[in-house]
Amino acid sequence: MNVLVAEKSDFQRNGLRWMLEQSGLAIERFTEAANAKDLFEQAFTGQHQLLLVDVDMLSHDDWKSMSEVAKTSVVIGITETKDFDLAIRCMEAGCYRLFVKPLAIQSFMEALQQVGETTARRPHAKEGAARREALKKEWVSTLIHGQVTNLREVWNQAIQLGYDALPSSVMVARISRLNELMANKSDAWRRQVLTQVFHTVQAFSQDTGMIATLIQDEFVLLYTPKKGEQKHELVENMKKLGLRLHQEVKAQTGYVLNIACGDEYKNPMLLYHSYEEAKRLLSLEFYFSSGRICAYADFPALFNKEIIEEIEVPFDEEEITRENLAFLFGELEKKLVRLKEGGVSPLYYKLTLMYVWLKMTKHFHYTEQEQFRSFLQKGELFLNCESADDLLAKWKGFMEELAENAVFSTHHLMIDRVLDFINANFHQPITLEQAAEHINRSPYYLSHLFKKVMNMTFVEYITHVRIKRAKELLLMDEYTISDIAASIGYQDPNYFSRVFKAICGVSPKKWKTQKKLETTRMARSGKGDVTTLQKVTTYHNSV
Amino acid sequence: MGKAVHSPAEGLRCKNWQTEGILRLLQNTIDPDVAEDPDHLVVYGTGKAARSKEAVAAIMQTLERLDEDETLLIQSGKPVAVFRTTEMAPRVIAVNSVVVPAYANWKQFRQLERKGLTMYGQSTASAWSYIGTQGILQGTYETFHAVARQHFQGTLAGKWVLTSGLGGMGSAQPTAIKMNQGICLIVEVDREKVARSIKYNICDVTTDHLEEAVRYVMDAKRTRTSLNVALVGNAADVYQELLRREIIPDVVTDQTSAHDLLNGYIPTEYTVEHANLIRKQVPDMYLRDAKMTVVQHVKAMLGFLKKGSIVFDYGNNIRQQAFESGLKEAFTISNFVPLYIRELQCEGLSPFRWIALSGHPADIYAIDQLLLKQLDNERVKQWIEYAQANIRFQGLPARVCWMNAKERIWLAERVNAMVAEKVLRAPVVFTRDHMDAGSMASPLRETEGMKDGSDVIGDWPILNTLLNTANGATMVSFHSGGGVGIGYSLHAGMSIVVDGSQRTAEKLPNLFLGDVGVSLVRYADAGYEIADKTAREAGLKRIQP
Repeated sequence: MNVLVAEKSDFQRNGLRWMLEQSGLAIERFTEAANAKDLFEQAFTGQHQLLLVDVDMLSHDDWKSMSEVAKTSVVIGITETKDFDLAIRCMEAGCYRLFVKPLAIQSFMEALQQVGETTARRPHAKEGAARREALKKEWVSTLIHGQVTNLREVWNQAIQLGYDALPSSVMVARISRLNELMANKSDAWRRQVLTQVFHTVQAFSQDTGMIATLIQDEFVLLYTPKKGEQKHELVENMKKLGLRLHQEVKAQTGYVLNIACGDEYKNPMLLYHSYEEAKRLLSLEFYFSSGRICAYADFPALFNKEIIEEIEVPFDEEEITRENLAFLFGELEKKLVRLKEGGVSPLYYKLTLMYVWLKMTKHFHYTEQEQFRSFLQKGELFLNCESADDLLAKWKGFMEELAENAVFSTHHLMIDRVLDFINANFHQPITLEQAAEHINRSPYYLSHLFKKVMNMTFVEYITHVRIKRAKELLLMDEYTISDIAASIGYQDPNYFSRVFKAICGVSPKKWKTQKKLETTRMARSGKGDVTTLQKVTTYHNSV
Repeated sequence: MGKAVHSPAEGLRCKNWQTEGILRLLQNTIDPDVAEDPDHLVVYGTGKAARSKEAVAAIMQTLERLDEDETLLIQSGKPVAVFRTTEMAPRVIAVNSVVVPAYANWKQFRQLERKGLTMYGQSTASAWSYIGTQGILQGTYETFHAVARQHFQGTLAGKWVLTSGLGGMGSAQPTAIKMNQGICLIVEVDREKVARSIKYNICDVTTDHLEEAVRYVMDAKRTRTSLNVALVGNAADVYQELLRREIIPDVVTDQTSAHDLLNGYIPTEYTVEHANLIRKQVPDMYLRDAKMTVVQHVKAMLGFLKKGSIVFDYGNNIRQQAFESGLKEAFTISNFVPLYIRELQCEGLSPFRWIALSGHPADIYAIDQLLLKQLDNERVKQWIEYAQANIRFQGLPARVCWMNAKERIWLAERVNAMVAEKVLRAPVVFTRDHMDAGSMASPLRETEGMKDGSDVIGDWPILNTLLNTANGATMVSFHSGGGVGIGYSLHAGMSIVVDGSQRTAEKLPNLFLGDVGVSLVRYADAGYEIADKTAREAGLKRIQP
């Protein structure tokens, strides 16, 4: 048991401590407070089961806080004055007992023992709250996942939780761009953020009578209709509440919530439809700027699959040309508006984009491997985009990239010139700057372009060219390592050997020996084969 | 005289629970969760709870001020006066939609309605005892239970029912058949209604292909599994094709909107969209095609009957439509009431319901528990367990159950004690549907084919109303029209607020025995021996001059 003793005098505090030790109570933590401020600071942490309070230290305003504390902990008051009004005040505040100093040790000890027994029997208030929270979460989860099999059980649990009516609509809220915000954060960080927002959501729900729980990354709020509330009123009220929640969370935590409200289902067995609708609406958030409150009632044709029948093929094959890229982008934007207004799942829009991209890759990438790689990379980005704004921005970037690819051949010509330059000069110590100067571009531009076209850096390429040449020279037997190093642009033979070993795994000398051995072996085994063949032929002839 | 144990201090708007109960019933029937169109006070179908919003406000104000020895009179949804009566008398007496018989037709009625002189109140809408769709489901369950009991040893396991129509009424069929362990193949032409039935878990599987549907049904039949298959198609076409292929269901019925060939029924080869266009532009052509279809539809049903299926009309007037369209033998098919319901009613069973005025489901569950523990009735038990698990409360929590007078008295007395002991959070209202022949005279449905030919006699519901008034029900009402229209039915409603008082306890036996007794006497009088036996067993003093 954790005990808090609030008493002005040190002497009295020590006396109380001694009595507590003698009482036989299992005391885990003993905390002291010398004034009312310290007392309430400690008491509001909610960690103390027993409080011994010198009530004479309380001012008029402190009694209200005292009532709050007495709701979750046992409070024993101690006073110096035999005052009837004070006794009444203690009773009203919910004090367990009031003792007058000097304390009658025996009755005080008895009172402490009684407290020990009752707190042992009564679960800790905090544990009780946690259990209730867990029960509520389970209840909400059953409702929103369509696992209700018996209405009476739903009611029994509702009564246990203190609800006298059942919810009929679901509101789901999610932190906008949570994944993006938390991309470089730990899970613990993520949990902390969710908890922080959840506290605000919970305070909101207590204020508005909604039932709130946190299920994974989503805040689920259940709305119970008021008596006589009609459906259109309910939709309006939910939207208002959604807006209020949005504003409160933004003001208090700085996070923006995407909020969606499902339709009304008075039968708890069907409430899961409301949750699913809200979730689908949240995915519709993709179409909107973040933080907008959506209600299912505003999208009567939500995820209307029939619209697929009406959607035309985005473009003719001939329309996909380099000159038409701006037009294509405009068309895709228009398509987005149509699908959004038709209430079509964002997934279809994303799939449309992927289809278009696939067609475009065929026009702008020459090899099948390039097409496939580009489709996979961009496709993943399309699918993972959280909002239409993001996606359109990205798509524009890709378009620009393609537009750059429109001068693909120019790039190739430029790189060809660089390659010629390298091949002609690799035996000298050439640099990126020299090559860039050769093609009249900045070194940064060349580095970027080179990597894009060749899929390796300028330095990597030169090294490979040099090593290739070195291998040729090594096999010729006419040159020493130093000669070779000098002929391919390495001033220092030792430096050449180390680079060679790094690339090929062995030193130039060893490489040369290995190659020679292999050649000799191959020559020998090749001769042996001929002998066998000759024998077989001879045998056949003799037969 | 004992006073009600729940004092006005407990959140009451009225002076006592008797009037508070009625006030809450009115509020409940126009609650958006219960009423179809609360803005226009339409509770269900075309039935209204009160004449106008002003009338509602006036009724509520009057009820708030009503003393326990006063009675409010309501004329077709409009409060007209408060009279001094006695503490034992009803607090509200209402008469709705009644016009002099010679003028009792839609044309005259609509004219009067337009002048603001009357309103159409259907049955439980203007009796303020409508509780949502639970009643429809329970009625359908009882019908299929009766089918199972009469033909298949009490269960539909391994039997398949061919039916059609997934509208408001028809949607109860698959669930009710499943509750009786049967297999249902339901045909519906409107794809949206089929999609809705799948979304709301009314049907298990849907298909456009007859072969696939039949395969599902046959597999389920072989394994004796319950299964609801929704087939998208025109019922008339599907029925004919099944007959041609000699695939014969165990039970055949139909709940398409055949009662309204122009606005509800859809002719063969029409899509829903096409039907909407044609019925507006060329109604005569539409009707011609609908009539041809309905004849084929009923012919196929007759074909199934000849091949040994159990075939019945489920109250949508399809036989009459086919007959009028030229199919003389249409009435070979029987109506569900004389076939399955009348026998139950002759035993004193009809839809009884109770509503928790606290608005808390725990009160209904507590009463459920009492029934489950102490009433030795497997049918009731099965229904209560199903209802607890699957039926959502609309508005004030309520429960429907078919019960006889003895069971009603027993339950109401126990509940009265529970209210007195504060086991329940607030008093409970006991009320009923307008269905048995004592409270309903309706020659096209409830009183069709009475043994003595007394189908059109309208005295009995009036006797029922007067007797319930004499026995001190909290609200009694008399109506005309119901679900079949002006001129075709007369019916009575009654409700009692069980508030835990001694006075209520004293009323209960006479009230329920009287209410159910009128029905038993009416059936006995028409020559039904079971009713005569039940009446005698119940201790009714029947006089036979």
